Amino acid sequence: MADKMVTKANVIKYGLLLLVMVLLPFLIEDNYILHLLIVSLVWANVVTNWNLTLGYGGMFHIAQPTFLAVGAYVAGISAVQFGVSPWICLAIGGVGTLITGIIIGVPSLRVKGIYLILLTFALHFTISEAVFHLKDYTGGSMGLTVPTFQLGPIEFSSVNLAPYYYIALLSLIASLVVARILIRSNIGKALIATRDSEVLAVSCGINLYKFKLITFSIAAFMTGIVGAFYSHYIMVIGPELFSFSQIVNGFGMIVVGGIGTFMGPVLGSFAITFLSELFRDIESFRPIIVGAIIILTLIFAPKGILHELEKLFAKIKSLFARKPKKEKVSP
Amino acid sequence: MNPNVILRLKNVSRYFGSLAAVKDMSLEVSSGEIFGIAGPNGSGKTTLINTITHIVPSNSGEIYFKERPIHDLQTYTICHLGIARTFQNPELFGSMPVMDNMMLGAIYGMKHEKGVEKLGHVRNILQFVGLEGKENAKAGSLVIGGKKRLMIAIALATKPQILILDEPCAGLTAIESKEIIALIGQLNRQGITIMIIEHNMKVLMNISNRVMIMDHGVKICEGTPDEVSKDPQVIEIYLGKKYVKRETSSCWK
Amino acid sequence: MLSTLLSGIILGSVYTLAAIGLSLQWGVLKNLNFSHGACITLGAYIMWTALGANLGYLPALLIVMILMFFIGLAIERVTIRPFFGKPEVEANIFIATVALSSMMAQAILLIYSGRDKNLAPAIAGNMNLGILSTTNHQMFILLMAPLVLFAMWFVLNKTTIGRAIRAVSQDPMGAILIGISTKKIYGITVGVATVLAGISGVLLGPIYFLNPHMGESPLTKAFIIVILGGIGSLKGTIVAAFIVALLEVWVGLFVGVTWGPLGLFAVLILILLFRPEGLFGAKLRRG
Repeated sequence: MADKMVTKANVIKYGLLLLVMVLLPFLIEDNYILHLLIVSLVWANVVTNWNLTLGYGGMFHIAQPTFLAVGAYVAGISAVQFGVSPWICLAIGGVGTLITGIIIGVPSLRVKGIYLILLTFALHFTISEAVFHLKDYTGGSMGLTVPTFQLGPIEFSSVNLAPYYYIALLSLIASLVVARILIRSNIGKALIATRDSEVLAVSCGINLYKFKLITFSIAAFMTGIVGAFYSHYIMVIGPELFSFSQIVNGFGMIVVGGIGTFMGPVLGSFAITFLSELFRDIESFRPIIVGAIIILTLIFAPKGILHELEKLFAKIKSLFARKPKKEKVSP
Repeated sequence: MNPNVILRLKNVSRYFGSLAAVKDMSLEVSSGEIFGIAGPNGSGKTTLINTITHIVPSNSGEIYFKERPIHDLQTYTICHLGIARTFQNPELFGSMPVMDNMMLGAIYGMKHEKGVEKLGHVRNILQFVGLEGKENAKAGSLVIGGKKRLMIAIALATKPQILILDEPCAGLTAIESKEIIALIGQLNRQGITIMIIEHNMKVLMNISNRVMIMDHGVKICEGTPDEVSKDPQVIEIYLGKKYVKRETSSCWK
Repeated sequence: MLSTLLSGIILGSVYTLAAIGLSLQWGVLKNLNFSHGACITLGAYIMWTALGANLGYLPALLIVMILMFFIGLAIERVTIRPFFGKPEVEANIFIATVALSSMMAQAILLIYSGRDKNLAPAIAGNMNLGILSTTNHQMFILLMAPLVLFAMWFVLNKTTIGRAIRAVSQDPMGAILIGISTKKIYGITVGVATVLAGISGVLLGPIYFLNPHMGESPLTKAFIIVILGGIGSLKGTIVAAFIVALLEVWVGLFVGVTWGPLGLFAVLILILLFRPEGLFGAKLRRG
């Protein structure tokens, strides 16, 4: 399998993209746009990890947005109730979410896939209820005010978003790198192979359960970290983090970008976040529109809208390429 | 107990609801032999294989591989112990190249053999099954003959001691079948025990040291090909009552 | 104590109806419809609208059932059928039905507003059964649930359509061979399941308030019931429904309602760890 990523064209493409992303905070003055970028980066992180388990690993579930919220709350509670420094809370958020992931993964990844789906539904419901009932820790429906980062002279505030932007960007790159390593590793190949034939996979010695659990746990851990970051960024977290529309939004990002593609969900995240902003006036219709987009995309563009655009470009390119070729035919 | 027995089943049963797909099956396969299994459609042959490899766990009875109980082990562990199989309908990692298919088998299936140089091992097998040149072809794009060979190749990549083949000749032409059978013969001469399910009775009888006939999940008869082909019950199942000659002998001992 | 038992039994009856729909769909389509919860909500709201238009209770209920059936057909047509025969069936159906449930919840929110509403029961008022006091509505549920279950049993076992449904659930290819239109059966199955969801909503409505997300909690419980009972086992579903309902009521009484969901979740984990096939499901292991 030729390594699609490390071709010259791709290195240049992604290098340029990275450069642009790094320079953006200097080019953009509008704090609101920076905020949207940060939210996009956070969600790109979430859906990358979601896609790792769902698209590559074949594990269907709705746990990722719940993991984001768990990371946020674990970090928030650690900071507010126990006075832990936000930087350490990032790690705590990651570990707390990792534990949650393991609690879900261990019993359900051994058995039929439907159980994972059901268990993650139950998790979503249970934790969102728990947040209300444990109000002494979580602030209940009033939410929790979370302190933000401090690092020497760097200003972390709602007027200076650049430092947050870079943390979010770094964290996304980390997730992408980890995902990449996992997918290219033997574990990743084994999981991808399992999509074709689970029966053959186990028959030639692949311990599916172990690999699924590893992947699921890693995805949970990375999502927990970015969830922790999010709570120290947004500084006020509440039960709306657990709303079902987050889950559907997340699906929208993955589906639009292309399930099981590597960068698709990242681009899907930016697309959905910015489009939602563009159509802020019809915010109340958002779940309906996103839902419809998801269903239509799945039916008509199952490899993602990005893939269809690429096909379109390729077609247009080939239309232009034909003409000069005719002249070149020699007798 | 025969010390040469590599696989032993004792009263193995598997039910689906109230239907017994395999009922009270006992058998012994000796190391190094070719053990054929035949029977009408739906007689439970594939289910039997599935219980041995724990794709579908048996409901009762015991299964021993080299005297080690395997009826409670997971499929991947059973592979590591040295049992490999192929499937009636081609099961492959269709979206991946032939090479990757086999390397996965080599990497994950050879846990019991450390230090084997995997790439060389896989290339040898590739040549042996006749798939050289096709390393980079997507497994799903192979023709049926190629798919069947690849399945055998993947199984071999796990360096098994016993290879179970489920209808390896199904869907192949007479010439292709001959080639596969020759391959199997060669494997057996190299020391691999073979269990083979085959519909084509002529092929099965020719290659097997011993044969077992199943019907409705139960063993009807077991013995050398010669003994089995003379058994009246077997003839009745395959050809009908009127072919049961007067001088037949039962193969039950 | 006895009244708690009664509440549990009544709750169990409603959960049974919701869970049976899921179980039926799973058995026939081999996939779950995650908009089932939204259908519970929808059933309750349609009933509310019908009653608000001054229709009698039974005519209103009939309208709910008919509408829900056609909605079920539409759901199958839009979020399930387009994906059969194409790669990644389960992933697509999973995501599509989840998306649909969100769309439906939002649509209900927009049409009806998010404020909690009251759904009138069939017969208002309370009732005294000796030492127990209960509401008429709860008695109504106790009457309706077995009736609906019996109707389902009758349809599945004694009618041609029912036989066709059972055939498709056992062997889709075989069913095609004897001339059954599997597409039609899939549609009917989802339709029936949706009707059951709607009826559950109508029965649940007067107990809790109506709001656009009221179906989510019963849906989660239905999921738990289907796991506990063993996917594919109708009998197991019924038993599990009552166990879950009684557990919910009992835990609520003794430990406090706050720990209900967490307790249920813990039970779920334990089941998956030690007996994933549920109470009556096909054994995944030996013994």
